Amino acid sequence: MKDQELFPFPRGRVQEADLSLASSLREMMEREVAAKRLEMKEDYEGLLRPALRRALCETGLQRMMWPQHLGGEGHELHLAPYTVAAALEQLGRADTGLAVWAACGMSLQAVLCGRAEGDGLCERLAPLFRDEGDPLLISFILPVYGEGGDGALWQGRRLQVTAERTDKGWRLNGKAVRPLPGGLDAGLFGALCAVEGEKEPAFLIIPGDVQGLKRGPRLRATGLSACRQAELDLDEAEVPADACAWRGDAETRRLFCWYRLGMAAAASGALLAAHGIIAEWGDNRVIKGQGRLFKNNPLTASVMGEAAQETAVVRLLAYDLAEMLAEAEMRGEAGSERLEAYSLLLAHQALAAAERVLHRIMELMASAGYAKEWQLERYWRDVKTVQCQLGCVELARHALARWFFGSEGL
Amino acid sequence: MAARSADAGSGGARGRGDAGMRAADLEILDNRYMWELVAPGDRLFISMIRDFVDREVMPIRRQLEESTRGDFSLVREVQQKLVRMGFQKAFLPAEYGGWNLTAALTYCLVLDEFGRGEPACVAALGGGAWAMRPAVFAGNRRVLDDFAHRFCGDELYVACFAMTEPSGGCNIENVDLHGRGIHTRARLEGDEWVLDGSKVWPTNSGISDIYCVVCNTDPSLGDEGIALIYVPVPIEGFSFGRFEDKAGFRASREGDFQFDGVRVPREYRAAGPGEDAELLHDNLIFARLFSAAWAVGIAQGAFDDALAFAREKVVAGRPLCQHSLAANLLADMAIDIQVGRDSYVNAAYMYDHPESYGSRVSPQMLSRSTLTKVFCSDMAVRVTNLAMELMGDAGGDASYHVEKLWRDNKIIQLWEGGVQLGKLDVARGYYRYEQFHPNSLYERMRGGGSG
Repeated sequence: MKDQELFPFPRGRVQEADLSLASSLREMMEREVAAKRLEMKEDYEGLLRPALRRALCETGLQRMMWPQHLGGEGHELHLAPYTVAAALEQLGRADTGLAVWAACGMSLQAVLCGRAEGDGLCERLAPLFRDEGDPLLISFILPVYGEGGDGALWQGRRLQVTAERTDKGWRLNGKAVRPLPGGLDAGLFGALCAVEGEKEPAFLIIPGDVQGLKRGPRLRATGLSACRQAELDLDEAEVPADACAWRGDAETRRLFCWYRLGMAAAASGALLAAHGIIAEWGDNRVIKGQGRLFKNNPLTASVMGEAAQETAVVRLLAYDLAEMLAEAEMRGEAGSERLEAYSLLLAHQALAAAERVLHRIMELMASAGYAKEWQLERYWRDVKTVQCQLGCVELARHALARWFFGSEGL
Repeated sequence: MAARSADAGSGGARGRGDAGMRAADLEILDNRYMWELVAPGDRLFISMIRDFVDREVMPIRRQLEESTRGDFSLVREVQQKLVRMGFQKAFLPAEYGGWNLTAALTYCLVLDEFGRGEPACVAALGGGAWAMRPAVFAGNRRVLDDFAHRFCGDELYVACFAMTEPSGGCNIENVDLHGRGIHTRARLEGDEWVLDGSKVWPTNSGISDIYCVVCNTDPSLGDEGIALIYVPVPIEGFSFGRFEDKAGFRASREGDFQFDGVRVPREYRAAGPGEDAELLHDNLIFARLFSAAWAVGIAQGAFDDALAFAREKVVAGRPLCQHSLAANLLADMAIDIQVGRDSYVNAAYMYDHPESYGSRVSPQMLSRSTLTKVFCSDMAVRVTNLAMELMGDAGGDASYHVEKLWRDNKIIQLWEGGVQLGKLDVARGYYRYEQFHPNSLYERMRGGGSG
């Protein structure tokens, strides 16, 4: 049965082209990733890079929203959220990390291409996005939880990089900077920076090969092995004046909204994959020495039903968020606090539900669910990592309280 | 970083008190009541283990897991140190050179300590004690004469209690099946048992010197057909498959193996018909007790690290732990851990005192031990999740230890029958629950009929 029949969502303005893209991505990812998933961890460069190239470059996702006159596909922004949801769900189904990489790239595309001001930066960046030979991996350097050092704060969180205006552009400094989803392989960084002597931060685009940028060794994390993490040191790194993509909070909020759409779609994809795994288990596993299939046992069937229930809801949440973003883009409300609050709510809800379901499915499969061979554990670790990267759940609730109740001083 | 500084210092804030309690611990809830429930000799052993975990394990706990991607040499080094300090022989009878520490509560408190450090590195030794219990409790002189001295020596000697089979994850733990789910066969030929069958996932498989194998002499005999037979390796007919690659608990090794006409002396059966079933159930009850304690230790480790993080991390001008929100989360964790610890201490104490609380192998004791195992392993899932949430994106960062504890704990929740079967065993303590009770609904579902 097709995903849309099993876990339907209101089609709304989802185009046939989106469904067709999702279908071909699914086939491609099954061939390129799912079949090689176990080896991939051992041979990242050898196996994942080509898969990423096919997923991002060959399908056109990497240049999807880029204007046609700059070599992009020129996909309309008010339709793009559905495309992002449909595509990232299928990437997430193959490997959550792939979806996360794609989410970063597409979020930045969406915000850069949606800017009202001139596109000098876009012109400079266009060749990178339309490169068909190498995937452009983008990581964000965002404010982090808590204080420390002399770093300036943005909404109570510490900005990791400081930018100083120079005659030529910007000079950047930062120690032990943590880009998400991964600093080791990213070719481009988008950093929300504190600006010396100014109150308003600036979002700067930093090439991965800029002089003064030094990458640390690989850092291990719970999951997302496709997104290899490393700390960066920025020591007097210089970027041109037009590296500043935007000032002000509205565009930053818009970036967060798109990024969270990607996370919700990745969670939905992980759950669709988990559904396939537990369905196969339920169809083939015989339990209790009674010759009964696993799925026919009332107790386990109940947990399987719960998993399906949550999977359906997570999918609805992802497409709901896509619709909100699409509507917002149409009505010019992009970057609103309202949308940011909803994107936060929906993404956290989707990730929490996905994490819960993966725990439950693992409980059903017991040690097989824990073994790498059955692949469920990878989604379990990946979804937890994405949830952590979304930020502290309790602080997200504070943000929601601010929006829904006008709570102050949190 | 918070977790690193905790490692370098006192081992972090800890939730248990003892005679040597440090000043820093005084602000933590006093758990000395447990001390009054264990024998003085056992207290000394537990103190030694606590110090060992602080001194030898905490500083290298991340490296221990990392070494499992290579040759396990660091894990074996720690295990060898434990052998030298007497861990391997502690649970064996004094007449063989052991220390006779047979109390379940002592074993639980020891695993609680390892849980907060590196839970899996002790499995090679803890699994040995578990595998040898049937022979010790049955008083099987032949098995003890042949092998106990190996455990009481200075070299690591590993044992494996082999239950799970490819055909059914928790068929063996399911008391309602009365052994019918056990497909590993043992047949008596002259003075030898001949074993055929295969096992998957037993802890220490592939690295053990001796296996205690759960098998069946005749499925039609029900519990009378269940046999626990010791198999030393290497031996003809034994073949090991491959080690499992798993999400966590990596310092412990599991794999699959096969018996193809393996022959061992008749006396290597732990006891005999009926008695072996009782020993199996007893070992399962014991395992659920120590699993509960292991999970509590893991939750404690996550709490310690989250607290250290919250003390160091400054948010809005104050340490995170001074914010009411964080204090609430930390309190949620502390409540869970304390209730979990109280729960396993109670259950283990009752298990250790059958004169007051009835047979150790009863539906009530099965229920009690399973209740604490299900609660504590679920609780540790909650606590490690909360700790990761409190730490935000640092929660998934392997520079800290919480994410590892989150991964490590999950297998405890899954093993020994998992969550669903566990809850059925809990129900058995409250009424006569029979999974295969033949009512009409059950028959209809089984037959798929229309009735």
